[in-house]
Amino acid sequence: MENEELNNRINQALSSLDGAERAAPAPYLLTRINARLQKETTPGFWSNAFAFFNKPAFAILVLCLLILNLIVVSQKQGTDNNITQNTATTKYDFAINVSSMYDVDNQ
Amino acid sequence: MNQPDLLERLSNGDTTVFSEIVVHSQELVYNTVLAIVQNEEDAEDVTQEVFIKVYESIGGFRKEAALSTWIYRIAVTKALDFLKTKQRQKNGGLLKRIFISAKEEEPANFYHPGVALDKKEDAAVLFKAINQLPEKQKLAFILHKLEALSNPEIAAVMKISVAAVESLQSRARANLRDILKEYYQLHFK
Repeated sequence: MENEELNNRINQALSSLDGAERAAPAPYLLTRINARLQKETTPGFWSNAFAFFNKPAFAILVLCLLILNLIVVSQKQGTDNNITQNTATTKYDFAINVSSMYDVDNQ
Repeated sequence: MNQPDLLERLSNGDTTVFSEIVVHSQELVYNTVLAIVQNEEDAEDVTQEVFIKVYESIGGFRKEAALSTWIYRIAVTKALDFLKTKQRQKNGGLLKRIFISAKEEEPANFYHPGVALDKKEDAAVLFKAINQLPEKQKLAFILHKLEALSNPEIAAVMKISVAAVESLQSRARANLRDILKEYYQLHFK
């Protein structure tokens, strides 16, 4: 394509929007907007039923439960070690870990 | 639309004000949004979202700005947000990127309904080129060309100086020339 022709095409494209009319939306836009507004402002059954999930109080409660859970689990791990140690001692003292009466002598 | 009167009625709790704003500004909003999103159905949806935002935040509207400037700002923001969301959805995951070829993703030509019939093809090429501009250059160009806003008005909508608008427009024109040159050289050898 020659330079002059190319420039003409570019200028033609650049000026193609000159004098363009405003595009108009489909009719009854206001009616559609009002319907959408009504739909958005009237909550449905499920959004009502689960509305408490959105409340900050619920988030705080869940957070508290998580922290409490962590505390309980970490404390339990400490006591588990003691229990394991105690169980081993008890087993040894009372010979609980023998599988039959014949093994008693071998203890 | 008499702005002080509208705002006075709004503060008095007049519910018909919103309807008046919609009727008066619907073309302004739709035309701006359409030029940015370049799809009539999407533009219709975004226009509705713009007016819902107007309805929700009209109470917080500061009276020192023109109502139309404020509405333009919402329209531009919503349209750009829509494009970003659409782009994110289009990119999708890795699998989508692997299985969908580049040819399928190429956007269709956009024919603006307000452009004269003999200019429609040229305008479609121009819109494709506009899509490749950086966001701010694109806005400055569209608001000037399709909404016929003056540079001070564009500056108010974009919250930048008039000099910055002038610079954006000149860079937009230069970039469009380059893009169009490349396009025509490739398609009309």
